[in-house]
This record gives sequence, structure tokens and C-alpha cells, in this order.
Amino acid sequence: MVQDISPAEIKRFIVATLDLEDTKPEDIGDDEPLFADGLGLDSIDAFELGIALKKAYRLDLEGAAQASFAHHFRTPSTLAAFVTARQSQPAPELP
Amino acid sequence: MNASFRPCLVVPVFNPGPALTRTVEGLLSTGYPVLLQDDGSDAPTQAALSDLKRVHPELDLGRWEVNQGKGAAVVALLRRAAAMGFTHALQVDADGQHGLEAVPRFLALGEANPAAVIAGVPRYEGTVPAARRYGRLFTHAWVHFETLSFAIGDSLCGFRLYPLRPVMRLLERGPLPARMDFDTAAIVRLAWEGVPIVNAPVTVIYPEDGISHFRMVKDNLRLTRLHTGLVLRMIPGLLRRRRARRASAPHWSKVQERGTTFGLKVCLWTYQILGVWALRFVTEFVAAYFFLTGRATRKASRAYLTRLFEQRGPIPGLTSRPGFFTAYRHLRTFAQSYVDRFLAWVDAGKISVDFPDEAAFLAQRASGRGAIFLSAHLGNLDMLRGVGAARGLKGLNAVLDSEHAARFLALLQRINPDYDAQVIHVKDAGPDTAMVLADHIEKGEGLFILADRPPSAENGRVLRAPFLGHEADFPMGPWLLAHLLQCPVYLFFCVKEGKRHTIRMELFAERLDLPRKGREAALAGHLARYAAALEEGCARAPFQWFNFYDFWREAAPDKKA
Repeated sequence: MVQDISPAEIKRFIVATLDLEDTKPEDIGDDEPLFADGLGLDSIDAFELGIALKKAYRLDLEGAAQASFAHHFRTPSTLAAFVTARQSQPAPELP
Repeated sequence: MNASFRPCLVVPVFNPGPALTRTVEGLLSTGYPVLLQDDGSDAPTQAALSDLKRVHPELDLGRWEVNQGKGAAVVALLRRAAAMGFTHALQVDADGQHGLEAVPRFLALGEANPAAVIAGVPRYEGTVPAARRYGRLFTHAWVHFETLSFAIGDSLCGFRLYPLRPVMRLLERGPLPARMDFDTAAIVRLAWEGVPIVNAPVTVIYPEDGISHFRMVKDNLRLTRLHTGLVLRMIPGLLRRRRARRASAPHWSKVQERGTTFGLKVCLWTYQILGVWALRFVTEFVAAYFFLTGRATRKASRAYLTRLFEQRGPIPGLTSRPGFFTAYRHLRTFAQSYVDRFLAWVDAGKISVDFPDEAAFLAQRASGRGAIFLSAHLGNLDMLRGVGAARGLKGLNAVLDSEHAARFLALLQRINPDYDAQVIHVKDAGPDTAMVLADHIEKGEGLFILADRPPSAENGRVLRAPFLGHEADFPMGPWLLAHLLQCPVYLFFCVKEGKRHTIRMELFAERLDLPRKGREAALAGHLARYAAALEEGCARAPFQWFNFYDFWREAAPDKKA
């Protein structure tokens, strides 16, 4: 059964996936920009995060406008909402 | 006279000789407003113009000191006429060669066909200078080819009624040639825009006292250049330079799309009616044009060939140090490769492909496992479509970084929708790209990625690796994709050898592991192998390396490093 994904879960996922050693999930604000000025992820991080999320939650992209992705990946909150809407498998076990 | 038809007469003036005064007075006698543009004429002409202005103060007279060319003068006149609220402008030469009895006839035709260009077709009286006769024959043949019709009766005649609205739209998108080639370029491009052409005869006399500024060699050369340019616009995919210039103009994509579809149809008709030799013939002009006009392209080609020669020494095709004209051979090969790509799409049966590892490839595809096929801008990946079509393969996706290449393929696909192959356009290495690509792999499809060019977006992180003895940027995305999706990776190159194409496929790795710790080092190893394979490919087909930019440019500053 799928359930709502919280921004906190997304933050844990980001830290684990990208191996952010100096950052703890709770250090990231729910509405803090993930890229550039905020957490400072770059496009390759985004690339990796995208694939990891897709694999982990079996995201169904059918009908999703590619142009909207930049918006979905803006902050932990927007990303949580996106994954919630698109997931087709429950949350994976995180280390 | 209705409000939607307000014509004026426009006359470009450049030392037209003694016929000037007679011509202008004849035009004024028709009762329509007359606009003149003096294109830097000499003192006697200036004096004649001053006299005319004194006697006829209603004359609208513009002037610039330095001669800019007939086209520039006509454009200035057409702009001025539009600004003054005229809807149509009848262009007349100042040298008295046009029979002015045609003026009311042309204006009546224009009022009856307000959307059309009324184009004068000369009825000659007296003798035509030989230089002009040959120039005309040459031009008419080209124009009929360029517009694929005989709608334009005479593309050189300067006696012409322009509807100003479409002309202004055309000018917004980019300049028209400034000199003698203006008349032809203007009407061909208006015809492309769908502006109707109505032909009407006009008497042309080469008067004893008329002075023609048509120069035998220079202007015929200029016309040659013009037609090469116009034909180029018809041929899609090669228009990097022009595309860049057009990119700033409004609606360029729409225009380009229409132009490109049209161009492809032209190719298709040419191919069907005349055969492949005609395409190859036209392509020779294209290659020559690019060679002659593309300084940066020549430079990039020479840099690559020099490095290849320094690295590998004499190889077949490149037996000595590349000189100036070696780049021509390179560009020619590139231009002709478009004909092959075109053939691969519209007539795959005509393409002979050798594929020694075909069994392995088919087995991989049959396994249902998604795979990444790393290729490069070396040779011609489209040849695979011949194989794919013959075997009924599905789920072959070409991942392309340039919108322009993606559009070219999308258009080819529209011409021949039989193929199932997909084109995925990748702008940058963002999460959207990643997810879309991952989706295809998860569905068990094959992704063909050109892994030699970093994405155009500035934020794409790249890797430096030695290629032909010097460090160059390579994209990181394809490798990361393979690692994250744990799918097999193959090297896949298709080059032309003689008249046949050969596909070489090689398993690169069953899976790649790039843990975040020590990733750069692991990647460097893989990349070195890829670059070495690329070098081998270049040595086998030195002229099929299709990266015409500074491949070894300095690394962009990396924020994270």
C-alpha cells in the first residue's frame, strides 16, 4: 500500500543517495532550495537523484510534463509531493 | 481607390545616367507618390536629383553618402513606404530600362491581388548584353529548383510590386542581401512564405544612354553564392550558422520548422524524380559553401586532423600532415553523410550495412534487458535503422543533445513513420532527463548515446580525459546512468567504408560500478577505454569524425571541484 511521502523522508533519501557526509537530513529545511543557492546540489546530483527516486519508488512518469520537473525538484516539500503523486511502490528501507 | 490598397512608386538610384530625369518625371506623371533613395551617387546624379526635387517638391528623396547596394536602397525605400502608411510599393529601376506604360497595369493587378507580388517578366527590345543573358538563365534554373515550381517567371527583374506587410515580416526575421542578389532573394523567400506570385510582362529596353551596374564576373559570382545559400536553406540539418543567427528573431522555430519540412520534401522529390546522384550533386555545393564560409569549421577540422596525424602517423586517407584542403574533404564527407542518413530513412534497402556482431546484438535485444550503446559523433548511427527495420526491432532510442539534430530526425520520421525508433532530446543532465532515460532502460529498451559531447547546458558536469594526446571534456551522464541502472554497456560505432557501412559493436561492461567514493578514479578508467576506442574509430575513418568545434577547448570552471 502506498502512502504519503514526507519531506523528512525525502531528505533522508537525498542524504543517503548522494552520500552527503557533512549534512544531516534534519539540517535541511523543508522549503530550502536543493540546488545552487540552497543545499548546493549540481545537475549531476540531480541526475543521480532522479534515477534513484525513480528506481526506489517506481515512479510512474506517464503524462508528466518534462518542463515541470525543475519545479518538482526545487525543495524537499515539492519533491515529496511529486513522489507521493507518482509512486507505485512503498517506501524503500533506508539505511 | 480603397483603403487596403495605397501604392507608391520606389526608385533606387545609383548613377543611372541621363535617363534618370526622364524616368522620374515619367513616374511622377502617373500621379502616384514617388520615393527615391540615392545610394551614394556621383555629383552629376546628385545635381539631377536636386533639380528634380526643386521642380517637384512632392518628391520624397532620401540619400546616403556611401554606396550600399541596390538591395539596401530598396529595403530602405520599402521601410520608408511602410512607415508612411503605403500598403504596396512598385519598384522601378532609375536607368530607364522599364517601359513605364506598365505602371498603371501593375497597380491594377496589385489592387485585384492585394496579397500577391506582381513580378515583372521582361519583354526585351533591342539586345541583351551577354553577361546578363547567362546570369539570367543560370538564375532562372536555380529559382525554379528552389521554389520547386515555375511560379516565378523572372526572379531578377527589378520591376515589381511588393505588398509591404509580408515584406516587413520577412525583414523582421533577418536581412536580405544588399546588392544585385536582392531581387532574387526577396522573391524566392516571399514565395517560401506562401506569398502568391503574379507574373506580368514589362517592356525592357537597354537604352543607349543607360548605364548598367551589373558586373559580369562579380555579380554572377554573387548570384552563385546566393543560390548556394538558398539551396542550403532548403537542406535541413546543416544550418548551424544560420540557425544561430535566426535564433534571436521572433518565431524562428516555427519558420525553421516549415522551412525544414519543405526542404526535406524537396530532397524527397529530388531523390524520387532524379535519383540519389542529384542529392549528392547538390550536396557538393553545400560542402563547398561551408568550406568557403566556415572559418571556425575549417579551423576545428584542421585541429582534429592534425592531432590525429600526430598521434597515429600516416593512416589510409590521411597519409600526410593535413593542409588547407584536407578540411574540404572532411566537410564533404560530413555533407555527404546527410545523404546517407536521408537514404537510411526513406529507402533503407539502398543502404548496405555490414554488421559482424549482429547475432549478439539481436540476442541482447531479445533478452529484454535494457542496455546502453555508447556511440559518438563518429560515422552515422542512422544506418542502424536499416538493420532495425529489416529485423522489425522495437525500442531503439537515439539520445540526442542538440535540438537541431533531434528535429532533423523527427522530421525524417514524419516522412517515413514506419520505423519505431524514438528520438529523445536531451537538453541537460537534469532529473527529468535522468528519469526519462531510466524509464526506457527499465522497459528493456536500448539507448544509443553519443557520449563524446558534453551537454550544451552550462551546468553539466564534465570529465577531462585524454583524446588524441590532449585532454578534452566528456559528459558524465551516460556513465552514471549505466551505473545507477546496472545495465550492460556496449560500444557501438557505424562508419562508412567505401560504399558500405560497417557497424562495430563490442561489450564494454556487463555493468559499471561507480560508488560515490572513488567515483572520479573509476570513471577515469572507463573513460580512457572509451576514448581509446574512439581513437581507433577515428584512425579507421579519419574523415567521419563529425565534431566541428573546438573539441579540446579549455575546461569550464567546475564549481564543485
